[in-house]
Amino acid sequence: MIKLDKAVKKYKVDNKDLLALNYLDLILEENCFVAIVGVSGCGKSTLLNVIAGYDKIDYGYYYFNNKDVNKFSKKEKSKLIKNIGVIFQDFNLLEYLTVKENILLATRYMNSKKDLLKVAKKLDILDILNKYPSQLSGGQKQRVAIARCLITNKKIILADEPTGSLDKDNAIKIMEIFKKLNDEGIAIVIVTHDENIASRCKKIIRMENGRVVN
Amino acid sequence: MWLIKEVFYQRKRHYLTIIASCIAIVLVLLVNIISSFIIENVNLSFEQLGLNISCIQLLEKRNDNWIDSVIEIYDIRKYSSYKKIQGRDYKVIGCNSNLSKVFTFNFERGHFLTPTGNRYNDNQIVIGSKLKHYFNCYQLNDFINFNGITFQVVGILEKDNYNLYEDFDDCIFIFEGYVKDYTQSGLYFVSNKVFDESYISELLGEDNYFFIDQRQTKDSLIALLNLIRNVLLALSFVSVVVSIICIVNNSLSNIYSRMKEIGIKKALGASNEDIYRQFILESILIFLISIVISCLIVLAIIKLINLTTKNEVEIDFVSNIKYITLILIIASSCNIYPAKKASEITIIETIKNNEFS
Repeated sequence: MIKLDKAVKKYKVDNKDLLALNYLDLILEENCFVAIVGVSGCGKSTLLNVIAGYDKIDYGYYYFNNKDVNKFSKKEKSKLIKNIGVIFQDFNLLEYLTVKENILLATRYMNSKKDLLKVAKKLDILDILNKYPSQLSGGQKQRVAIARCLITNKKIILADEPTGSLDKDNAIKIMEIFKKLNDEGIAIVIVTHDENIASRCKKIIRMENGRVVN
Repeated sequence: MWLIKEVFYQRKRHYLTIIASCIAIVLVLLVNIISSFIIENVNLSFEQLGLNISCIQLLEKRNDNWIDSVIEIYDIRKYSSYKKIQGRDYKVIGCNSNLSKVFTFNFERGHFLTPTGNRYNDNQIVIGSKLKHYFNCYQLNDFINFNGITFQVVGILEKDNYNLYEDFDDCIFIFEGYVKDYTQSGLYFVSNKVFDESYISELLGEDNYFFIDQRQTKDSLIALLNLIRNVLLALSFVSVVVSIICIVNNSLSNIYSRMKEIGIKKALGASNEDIYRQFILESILIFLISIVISCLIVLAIIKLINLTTKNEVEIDFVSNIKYITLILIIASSCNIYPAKKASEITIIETIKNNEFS
């Protein structure tokens, strides 16, 4: 489903080129449950941004469903972004919208949508639908962020340190949700530096200096 | 609903925009409403004073035919004459529906006009204040004898009549049916048409008449007032421009402080057009709110003016719609640039800005 072939992403730091992705090769299969681990600055988040379609590589190839993303038009790029759900460490919920409105926000820009109540029930957030993000715990916020991905039928969910702001119990709960979603056919890619979290995934990819090392 | 909620949440960022646009809109509306009121009132006062007519006062009678020629050419229906009453000259001024407006106000006692249907009663009369002693008439509806004709006194002109004609105290005002009897030594001619001064000059001799073109006076005053209004409107539109610069600046800074929101929406699938549309709709909504607030402020100010000056300035928002629409269009189109800027922000920019994740 996702293939990166000799992908290079450079950043300029103090007038020097820094290779965030250093001729990286990666294949992510459909319905995968992968953890990408590595130390800070190894290129995990850059890889996530590239896969999500937020950033583009400077060299190499990125194939999504066997199509070269580098050759994507604006419309196709937008479609790619719409196909991939991203979950962040700090949840990125809009404070002025209720949980329900935050979840439905995604449906404003997409045609396909699932039943809100079904999604809410699945993530155990039925009773907080009318609350505002400021009234929620970290675990609840992250479940709302997941619900926001699910409401528009995403087939891939990328999560950047999804448990980084959560306590152990909530982190485990979130990982259980991810596992459940993966069982239902959704590909999950988690970027983390927490080995315990990574061990709950089916596959672990280690990164060092912008490359996959295992 | 989303839009209202978003605008309400971001209200602190919009205060400056709302204040700036309110100042501009209030200024434009006030200038237009008040100057329209002044112009309308000047117009009305002129009409009430009979100044919508031209007037010529003869200083010397030249020949017997001139009255007829002038009457014929200028459609003169009413005129006045001096009449000697016991060795003293009194002006007798006939009036028609135009000239009569001179006398319909500033009367302390009664009304000059007692219309019966659309006609005035021919044997009624109004006398100047000095003449009440002469005719021994101190109350309305008394009958007096003037030149062998009995008139009912329907008005007594008291002092302090602010008229174009200086002293009406020694005037007798009679109605159409009797005016003809006093035309032989006529002095005043009034007409709804503009006098051709060169013709009058040729007809009467250069120094034998005094020409008052009241319409000209009125027109030049109205033109002056219109000019003042337009200058003030132009000045208030300058304030609109200043406000718009302030609004654009504010909108631009708003965009950079709302990068996180833009990033989240784009990550959820919002296209550039979605973001662009949102910012444009927001600006329209903000200006609509500003217009409502401005109208309320204008309403309050006008009420206050009416209360303190005892005027009756009418607020006609409908006639100001063109200005309001113009401001709305200018202001909204000025937000095109900030909206375009917002729509061009990429997700990665918001991430790098450390606002997004």
